[in-house]
Amino acid sequence: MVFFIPGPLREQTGGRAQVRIDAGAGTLGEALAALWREYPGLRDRMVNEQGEVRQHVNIFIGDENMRDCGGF
Amino acid sequence: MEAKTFLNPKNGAALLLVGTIKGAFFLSSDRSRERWETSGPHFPGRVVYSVAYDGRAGRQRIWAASTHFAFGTLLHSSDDFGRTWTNPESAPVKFPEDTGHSLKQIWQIAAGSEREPDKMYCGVEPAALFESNDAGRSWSLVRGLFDHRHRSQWQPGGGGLCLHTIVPDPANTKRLHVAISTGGVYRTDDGGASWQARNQGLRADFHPNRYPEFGQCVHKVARNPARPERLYLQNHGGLFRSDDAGDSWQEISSGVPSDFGFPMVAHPHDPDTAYVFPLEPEMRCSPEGRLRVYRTRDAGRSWQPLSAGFPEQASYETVLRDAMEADSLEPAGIYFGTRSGKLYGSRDEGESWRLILDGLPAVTSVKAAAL
Repeated sequence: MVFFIPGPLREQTGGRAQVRIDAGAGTLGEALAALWREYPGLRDRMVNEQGEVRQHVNIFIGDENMRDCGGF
Repeated sequence: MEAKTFLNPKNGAALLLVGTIKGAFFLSSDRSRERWETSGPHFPGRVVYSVAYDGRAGRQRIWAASTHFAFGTLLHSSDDFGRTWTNPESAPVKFPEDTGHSLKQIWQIAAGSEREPDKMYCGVEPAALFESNDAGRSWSLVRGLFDHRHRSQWQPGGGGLCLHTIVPDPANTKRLHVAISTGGVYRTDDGGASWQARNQGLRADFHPNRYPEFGQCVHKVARNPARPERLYLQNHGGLFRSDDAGDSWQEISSGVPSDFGFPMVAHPHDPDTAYVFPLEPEMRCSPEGRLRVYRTRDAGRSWQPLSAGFPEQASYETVLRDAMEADSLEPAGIYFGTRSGKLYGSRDEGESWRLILDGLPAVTSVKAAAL
Protein backbone atom coordinates (compact mmCIF):
# COMPACT_ATOMS: atom_id res chain seq x y z
CA MET A 1 0.00 0.00 0.00
CA VAL A 2 1.35 3.42 -0.93
CA PHE A 3 0.76 6.50 1.18
CA PHE A 4 1.25 9.93 -0.35
CA ILE A 5 2.53 12.26 2.35
CA PRO A 6 1.85 16.03 2.14
CA GLY A 7 4.81 18.39 2.44
CA PRO A 8 4.39 19.56 6.06
CA LEU A 9 4.37 15.94 7.32
CA ARG A 10 7.43 14.77 5.42
CA GLU A 11 9.71 15.76 8.29
CA GLN A 12 8.23 12.68 9.96
CA THR A 13 8.98 10.37 7.00
CA GLY A 14 12.59 11.32 6.45
CA GLY A 15 11.56 13.63 3.63
CA ARG A 16 9.76 10.90 1.66
CA ALA A 17 6.72 12.02 -0.37
CA GLN A 18 5.59 8.42 -0.85
CA VAL A 19 5.98 5.54 1.56
CA ARG A 20 5.10 1.92 0.84
CA ILE A 21 3.69 -0.05 3.76
CA ASP A 22 2.97 -3.75 3.73
CA ALA A 23 -0.45 -3.49 5.34
CA GLY A 24 -2.41 -6.17 3.50
CA ALA A 25 -5.96 -5.49 2.35
CA GLY A 26 -7.61 -4.71 5.68
CA THR A 27 -9.35 -1.56 6.87
CA LEU A 28 -8.07 2.00 6.67
CA GLY A 29 -7.58 1.88 10.44
CA GLU A 30 -5.29 -1.14 10.10
CA ALA A 31 -3.37 0.51 7.28
CA LEU A 32 -2.86 3.68 9.33
CA ALA A 33 -1.75 1.66 12.35
CA ALA A 34 0.89 0.05 10.15
CA LEU A 35 1.94 3.47 8.82
CA TRP A 36 2.24 4.86 12.34
CA ARG A 37 4.33 1.89 13.48
CA GLU A 38 6.80 2.73 10.74
CA TYR A 39 6.59 6.51 11.18
CA PRO A 40 5.33 7.17 14.74
CA GLY A 41 5.62 10.94 14.42
CA LEU A 42 2.69 10.98 12.00
CA ARG A 43 0.10 9.73 14.46
CA ASP A 44 -0.36 12.67 16.82
CA ARG A 45 -0.22 15.07 13.89
CA MET A 46 -3.06 13.26 12.11
CA VAL A 47 -5.36 12.34 15.00
CA ASN A 48 -6.04 13.72 18.47
CA GLU A 49 -5.88 11.91 21.81
CA GLN A 50 -9.31 10.40 21.19
CA GLY A 51 -8.24 8.92 17.87
CA GLU A 52 -10.30 11.40 15.88
CA VAL A 53 -8.85 12.68 12.64
CA ARG A 54 -7.94 16.34 13.16
CA GLN A 55 -10.39 18.83 11.72
CA HIS A 56 -8.14 20.08 8.93
CA VAL A 57 -6.55 16.75 8.08
CA ASN A 58 -8.11 14.84 5.20
CA ILE A 59 -7.24 11.27 4.30
CA PHE A 60 -8.05 10.16 0.77
CA ILE A 61 -8.34 6.57 -0.42
CA GLY A 62 -7.82 7.01 -4.11
CA ASP A 63 -10.05 10.00 -4.84
CA GLU A 64 -12.43 9.41 -1.96
CA ASN A 65 -12.24 11.34 1.31
CA MET A 66 -12.44 8.83 4.16
CA ARG A 67 -14.98 11.10 5.86
CA ASP A 68 -17.38 10.28 2.99
CA CYS A 69 -16.83 6.56 2.86
CA GLY A 70 -17.22 5.12 6.30
CA GLY A 71 -14.24 6.48 8.25
CA PHE A 72 -11.64 4.08 9.60
CA MET B 1 14.64 22.47 12.96
CA GLU B 2 16.83 25.51 12.23
CA ALA B 3 15.81 29.08 12.89
CA LYS B 4 16.82 31.58 10.22
CA THR B 5 18.66 33.64 12.77
CA PHE B 6 19.60 32.86 16.34
CA LEU B 7 20.94 34.57 19.42
CA ASN B 8 24.18 33.87 21.21
CA PRO B 9 23.76 35.86 24.43
CA LYS B 10 26.49 36.06 27.03
CA ASN B 11 26.05 35.25 30.68
CA GLY B 12 24.53 38.24 32.38
CA ALA B 13 22.44 39.16 29.34
CA ALA B 14 18.77 40.08 29.40
CA LEU B 15 16.51 37.84 27.34
CA LEU B 16 13.02 38.52 26.01
CA LEU B 17 10.80 35.76 24.63
CA VAL B 18 7.89 36.93 22.50
CA GLY B 19 5.14 34.57 21.37
CA THR B 20 2.85 35.66 18.53
CA ILE B 21 0.02 34.17 16.50
CA LYS B 22 2.49 33.38 13.71
CA GLY B 23 5.62 32.28 15.51
CA ALA B 24 8.04 33.31 18.26
CA PHE B 25 10.76 35.96 18.36
CA PHE B 26 13.59 36.21 20.88
CA LEU B 27 15.65 39.24 21.84
CA SER B 28 18.79 39.67 23.89
CA SER B 29 20.69 42.63 25.28
CA ASP B 30 23.39 43.36 27.77
CA ARG B 31 22.19 44.52 31.17
CA SER B 32 21.87 48.11 30.03
CA ARG B 33 18.94 46.90 27.89
CA GLU B 34 19.62 49.71 25.48
CA ARG B 35 20.10 47.73 22.25
CA TRP B 36 18.39 44.45 21.46
CA GLU B 37 19.30 41.73 18.98
CA THR B 38 16.38 39.82 17.53
CA SER B 39 15.96 36.28 16.27
CA GLY B 40 13.02 34.62 14.61
CA PRO B 41 10.51 33.75 13.53
CA HIS B 42 10.77 30.44 15.31
CA PHE B 43 7.89 28.07 14.36
CA PRO B 44 6.85 30.37 11.49
CA GLY B 45 3.15 30.28 10.80
CA ARG B 46 2.30 28.48 14.01
CA VAL B 47 0.45 30.02 16.93
CA VAL B 48 2.73 30.36 19.94
CA TYR B 49 0.53 31.10 22.95
CA SER B 50 3.14 30.33 25.56
CA VAL B 51 6.89 30.64 26.01
CA ALA B 52 9.03 30.22 29.10
CA TYR B 53 12.63 30.26 30.25
CA ASP B 54 14.12 27.72 32.64
CA GLY B 55 17.43 28.86 34.11
CA ARG B 56 17.41 26.50 37.08
CA ALA B 57 20.09 23.89 37.82
CA GLY B 58 22.51 25.39 35.30
CA ARG B 59 20.08 25.11 32.39
CA GLN B 60 19.59 27.80 29.74
CA ARG B 61 16.44 26.36 28.24
CA ILE B 62 13.68 28.04 26.28
CA TRP B 63 10.27 26.40 26.11
CA ALA B 64 7.61 27.13 23.51
CA ALA B 65 4.26 25.61 22.65
CA SER B 66 3.39 25.71 18.96
CA THR B 67 -0.01 25.07 17.44
CA HIS B 68 -0.32 24.19 13.78
CA PHE B 69 -3.85 24.77 12.46
CA ALA B 70 -3.95 21.28 11.00
CA PHE B 71 -1.52 19.18 13.03
CA GLY B 72 -2.20 20.25 16.61
CA THR B 73 -0.16 21.49 19.55
CA LEU B 74 3.37 20.46 20.47
CA LEU B 75 5.70 21.45 23.27
CA HIS B 76 9.30 22.18 22.28
CA SER B 77 12.49 23.12 24.10
CA SER B 78 15.80 24.56 23.00
CA ASP B 79 19.10 24.58 24.90
CA ASP B 80 20.83 26.84 22.37
CA PHE B 81 18.51 29.88 22.34
CA GLY B 82 16.40 28.63 19.47
CA ARG B 83 19.05 27.43 17.04
CA THR B 84 17.72 23.88 17.38
CA TRP B 85 14.51 22.60 18.92
CA THR B 86 13.14 19.34 20.10
CA ASN B 87 10.47 18.15 17.69
CA PRO B 88 8.85 15.24 19.52
CA GLU B 89 7.34 12.39 17.54
CA SER B 90 4.55 12.06 20.08
CA ALA B 91 2.84 15.07 21.67
CA PRO B 92 4.45 15.47 25.12
CA VAL B 93 1.35 17.04 26.66
CA LYS B 94 -1.79 15.08 25.90
CA PHE B 95 -4.94 14.04 27.70
CA PRO B 96 -5.22 10.39 28.70
CA GLU B 97 -7.73 8.61 26.47
CA ASP B 98 -10.07 7.88 29.40
CA THR B 99 -10.69 11.60 29.97
CA GLY B 100 -12.51 11.97 26.65
CA HIS B 101 -10.66 15.26 26.08
CA SER B 102 -8.13 16.40 23.54
CA LEU B 103 -5.65 19.27 23.77
CA LYS B 104 -6.54 22.54 22.04
CA GLN B 105 -3.85 24.93 23.27
CA ILE B 106 -1.09 25.23 25.83
CA TRP B 107 -1.79 28.60 27.44
CA GLN B 108 1.01 28.65 29.99
CA ILE B 109 4.37 26.98 30.52
CA ALA B 110 5.84 27.57 33.98
CA ALA B 111 8.99 26.44 35.74
CA GLY B 112 8.50 25.36 39.33
CA SER B 113 10.31 26.98 42.22
CA GLU B 114 14.10 26.97 42.58
CA ARG B 115 13.67 24.41 45.34
CA GLU B 116 12.32 21.91 42.80
CA PRO B 117 14.54 22.51 39.79
CA ASP B 118 13.07 19.65 37.74
CA LYS B 119 9.41 20.62 38.25
CA MET B 120 7.55 22.10 35.28
CA TYR B 121 3.90 22.89 34.65
CA CYS B 122 1.66 23.45 31.65
CA GLY B 123 -1.78 25.04 31.80
CA VAL B 124 -3.98 24.05 28.88
CA GLU B 125 -7.31 24.34 27.12
CA PRO B 126 -9.65 22.63 27.92
CA ALA B 127 -8.86 23.74 31.45
CA ALA B 128 -6.38 21.36 33.05
CA LEU B 129 -2.92 21.32 34.57
CA PHE B 130 -0.06 19.06 33.51
CA GLU B 131 3.16 18.59 35.46
CA SER B 132 6.61 17.22 34.84
CA ASN B 133 9.00 16.03 37.52
CA ASP B 134 11.94 15.44 35.19
CA ALA B 135 12.53 18.93 33.77
CA GLY B 136 10.04 18.44 30.95
CA ARG B 137 11.01 15.03 29.60
CA SER B 138 7.66 13.49 30.56
CA TRP B 139 4.32 15.00 31.50
CA SER B 140 1.19 13.85 33.29
CA LEU B 141 -2.26 15.24 33.96
CA VAL B 142 -2.76 16.55 37.50
CA ARG B 143 -5.76 14.42 38.39
CA GLY B 144 -6.39 16.19 41.69
CA LEU B 145 -7.53 19.27 39.78
CA PHE B 146 -9.00 17.47 36.77
CA ASP B 147 -11.28 15.47 39.07
CA HIS B 148 -12.40 18.54 41.05
CA ARG B 149 -16.14 18.59 41.72
CA HIS B 150 -16.38 22.12 40.29
CA ARG B 151 -14.90 21.27 36.91
CA SER B 152 -18.16 20.39 35.16
CA GLN B 153 -19.46 23.87 36.08
CA TRP B 154 -16.53 25.87 34.74
CA GLN B 155 -17.55 27.83 31.64
CA PRO B 156 -15.46 29.02 28.71
CA GLY B 157 -14.48 32.68 28.68
CA GLY B 158 -13.97 34.62 25.46
CA GLY B 159 -10.73 32.79 24.74
CA GLY B 160 -12.05 29.33 25.56
CA LEU B 161 -12.12 27.28 28.76
CA CYS B 162 -8.49 27.50 29.71
CA LEU B 163 -6.11 27.24 32.62
CA HIS B 164 -4.03 30.26 31.72
CA THR B 165 -2.07 31.13 34.86
CA ILE B 166 0.27 29.07 37.04
CA VAL B 167 1.85 30.70 40.09
CA PRO B 168 4.35 28.56 42.00
CA ASP B 169 5.28 29.59 45.54
CA PRO B 170 9.04 30.15 45.94
CA ALA B 171 8.86 29.41 49.67
CA ASN B 172 6.53 26.40 49.68
CA THR B 173 6.87 23.63 47.10
CA LYS B 174 3.54 22.09 48.14
CA ARG B 175 1.63 25.29 47.35
CA LEU B 176 0.57 26.36 43.87
CA HIS B 177 -2.07 28.76 42.57
CA VAL B 178 -3.72 28.43 39.17
CA ALA B 179 -6.36 30.58 37.46
CA ILE B 180 -9.05 29.38 35.09
CA SER B 181 -11.39 31.35 32.84
CA THR B 182 -14.02 31.00 33.95
CA GLY B 183 -13.48 29.07 37.14
CA GLY B 184 -11.47 31.47 39.22
CA VAL B 185 -8.44 30.92 41.41
CA TYR B 186 -7.62 27.48 42.84
CA ARG B 187 -4.88 26.63 45.31
CA THR B 188 -3.26 23.41 46.38
CA ASP B 189 -1.31 23.09 49.63
CA ASP B 190 -0.42 19.44 49.19
CA GLY B 191 1.47 19.38 45.93
CA GLY B 192 -1.57 19.02 43.67
CA ALA B 193 -3.48 16.20 45.36
CA SER B 194 -6.34 18.47 46.46
CA TRP B 195 -7.44 21.94 45.36
CA GLN B 196 -9.59 24.62 46.95
CA ALA B 197 -11.33 27.54 45.26
CA ARG B 198 -9.77 30.78 46.54
CA ASN B 199 -12.12 33.48 45.30
CA GLN B 200 -13.49 35.10 48.45
CA GLY B 201 -13.98 38.79 47.68
CA LEU B 202 -13.60 38.46 43.88
CA ARG B 203 -16.50 39.85 41.89
CA ALA B 204 -18.36 38.06 39.12
CA ASP B 205 -20.57 40.83 37.72
CA PHE B 206 -22.17 38.45 35.22
CA HIS B 207 -23.25 35.99 37.93
CA PRO B 208 -26.55 36.19 39.90
CA ASN B 209 -24.46 35.90 43.05
CA ARG B 210 -21.82 38.60 42.58
CA TYR B 211 -19.43 36.80 44.94
CA PRO B 212 -19.75 33.08 44.13
CA GLU B 213 -17.44 30.41 45.53
CA PHE B 214 -16.07 29.89 42.00
CA GLY B 215 -16.86 30.88 38.43
CA GLN B 216 -15.07 34.24 38.34
CA CYS B 217 -13.43 35.23 35.08
CA VAL B 218 -9.97 35.86 36.47
CA HIS B 219 -7.63 37.23 33.81
CA LYS B 220 -4.23 37.13 35.53
CA VAL B 221 -2.62 36.55 38.93
CA ALA B 222 0.89 37.68 39.86
CA ARG B 223 2.91 36.91 42.95
CA ASN B 224 5.75 38.98 44.35
CA PRO B 225 8.63 36.59 45.01
CA ALA B 226 9.85 38.63 47.99
CA ARG B 227 6.52 38.28 49.78
CA PRO B 228 4.92 35.08 48.44
CA GLU B 229 1.65 35.38 50.37
CA ARG B 230 0.90 38.62 48.48
CA LEU B 231 -0.91 38.21 45.18
CA TYR B 232 -2.21 40.79 42.71
CA LEU B 233 -5.07 39.94 40.38
CA GLN B 234 -6.62 41.44 37.25
CA ASN B 235 -10.20 40.24 37.14
CA HIS B 236 -12.67 40.53 34.26
CA GLY B 237 -13.93 43.41 36.37
CA GLY B 238 -11.72 44.84 39.07
CA LEU B 239 -8.18 44.80 40.39
CA PHE B 240 -7.58 42.85 43.60
CA ARG B 241 -4.87 42.10 46.13
CA SER B 242 -4.55 39.26 48.61
CA ASP B 243 -2.13 39.34 51.53
CA ASP B 244 -3.02 35.84 52.71
CA ALA B 245 -2.19 33.68 49.68
CA GLY B 246 -5.68 34.00 48.25
CA ASP B 247 -7.73 33.23 51.35
CA SER B 248 -9.34 36.66 50.88
CA TRP B 249 -9.17 39.41 48.26
CA GLN B 250 -9.52 43.19 48.61
CA GLU B 251 -10.46 45.38 45.67
CA ILE B 252 -7.79 47.91 44.64
CA SER B 253 -9.40 49.40 41.53
CA SER B 254 -9.41 53.02 42.63
CA GLY B 255 -7.45 55.29 40.32
CA VAL B 256 -7.47 53.43 37.01
CA PRO B 257 -9.52 54.60 33.99
CA SER B 258 -10.97 51.09 33.58
CA ASP B 259 -10.98 48.11 35.90
CA PHE B 260 -10.99 45.79 32.88
CA GLY B 261 -7.75 44.49 31.44
CA PHE B 262 -5.77 41.31 30.97
CA PRO B 263 -2.21 41.43 32.38
CA MET B 264 -1.09 41.91 35.96
CA VAL B 265 2.65 42.21 36.64
CA ALA B 266 4.25 42.17 40.08
CA HIS B 267 7.48 44.06 40.58
CA PRO B 268 10.36 41.57 40.91
CA HIS B 269 11.64 43.04 44.18
CA ASP B 270 9.19 45.49 45.76
CA PRO B 271 6.01 43.84 47.12
CA ASP B 272 4.11 47.15 47.01
CA THR B 273 4.64 47.73 43.28
CA ALA B 274 2.60 46.27 40.43
CA TYR B 275 1.67 47.17 36.84
CA VAL B 276 -1.52 46.87 34.79
CA PHE B 277 -2.65 47.81 31.30
CA PRO B 278 -6.28 49.02 31.61
CA LEU B 279 -8.57 48.41 28.64
CA GLU B 280 -11.89 49.99 27.74
CA PRO B 281 -14.20 47.01 28.39
CA GLU B 282 -16.31 47.10 25.20
CA MET B 283 -13.65 47.98 22.63
CA ARG B 284 -10.96 46.25 24.70
CA CYS B 285 -8.38 48.86 23.73
CA SER B 286 -6.43 51.50 25.64
CA PRO B 287 -9.10 53.93 26.98
CA GLU B 288 -9.69 57.00 24.78
CA GLY B 289 -6.90 55.78 22.52
CA ARG B 290 -4.32 56.90 25.06
CA LEU B 291 -1.54 54.36 25.55
CA ARG B 292 -0.96 54.13 29.31
CA VAL B 293 0.53 51.62 31.72
CA TYR B 294 -0.61 52.12 35.31
CA ARG B 295 1.66 51.47 38.28
CA THR B 296 1.00 51.30 41.98
CA ARG B 297 3.78 51.90 44.50
CA ASP B 298 1.55 51.42 47.55
CA ALA B 299 0.05 47.96 47.07
CA GLY B 300 -2.93 49.22 45.08
CA ARG B 301 -4.11 52.12 47.22
CA SER B 302 -3.35 54.43 44.31
CA TRP B 303 -2.35 54.04 40.66
CA GLN B 304 -0.33 56.43 38.48
CA PRO B 305 -0.34 56.56 34.68
CA LEU B 306 3.00 56.01 32.92
CA SER B 307 3.27 57.31 29.37
CA ALA B 308 6.66 58.93 28.75
CA GLY B 309 7.78 57.72 25.35
CA PHE B 310 4.42 56.45 24.15
CA PRO B 311 2.90 57.88 20.94
CA GLU B 312 1.09 61.19 21.26
CA GLN B 313 -1.45 60.24 18.59
CA ALA B 314 -4.40 57.95 19.28
CA SER B 315 -3.31 54.36 19.85
CA TYR B 316 -6.06 51.79 20.23
CA GLU B 317 -3.89 49.01 21.57
CA THR B 318 -4.72 45.71 23.25
CA VAL B 319 -2.34 43.80 25.51
CA LEU B 320 -3.25 40.18 26.23
CA ARG B 321 -2.93 38.49 29.61
CA ASP B 322 0.52 36.99 29.13
CA ALA B 323 1.92 39.81 27.01
CA MET B 324 3.33 41.98 29.82
CA GLU B 325 6.25 41.05 32.04
CA ALA B 326 8.98 42.38 34.30
CA ASP B 327 12.59 41.24 34.25
CA SER B 328 14.48 40.62 37.49
CA LEU B 329 17.19 43.26 37.01
CA GLU B 330 17.83 46.45 38.97
CA PRO B 331 16.17 48.75 38.09
CA ALA B 332 13.45 46.44 36.83
CA GLY B 333 12.62 46.33 33.15
CA ILE B 334 8.96 46.23 32.15
CA TYR B 335 7.86 45.00 28.71
CA PHE B 336 4.63 44.51 26.82
CA GLY B 337 3.54 43.41 23.36
CA THR B 338 0.37 44.46 21.58
CA ARG B 339 -2.10 42.79 19.26
CA SER B 340 -0.92 45.26 16.61
CA GLY B 341 2.56 43.76 16.79
CA LYS B 342 4.48 46.34 18.77
CA LEU B 343 6.89 45.52 21.57
CA TYR B 344 7.47 48.29 24.11
CA GLY B 345 9.95 48.29 26.96
CA SER B 346 11.06 50.34 29.92
CA ARG B 347 14.41 49.89 31.62
CA ASP B 348 13.62 52.23 34.50
CA GLU B 349 10.60 50.58 36.13
CA GLY B 350 8.11 52.31 33.83
CA GLU B 351 9.33 55.90 34.10
CA SER B 352 10.10 56.01 30.36
CA TRP B 353 9.27 53.73 27.45
CA ARG B 354 10.43 53.06 23.96
CA LEU B 355 9.35 50.98 21.02
CA ILE B 356 11.70 47.99 20.83
CA LEU B 357 10.12 46.21 17.84
CA ASP B 358 7.32 46.97 15.42
CA GLY B 359 5.72 44.90 12.68
CA LEU B 360 5.39 41.66 14.60
CA PRO B 361 2.34 39.42 14.26
CA ALA B 362 -0.17 39.86 17.11
CA VAL B 363 1.69 39.30 20.37
CA THR B 364 0.31 36.63 22.71
CA SER B 365 3.05 36.37 25.31
CA VAL B 366 6.15 38.18 26.56
CA LYS B 367 8.56 36.60 29.04
CA ALA B 368 11.77 38.09 30.40
CA ALA B 369 14.82 36.47 31.96
CA ALA B 370 18.27 37.46 33.13
CA LEU B 371 20.96 34.94 32.18
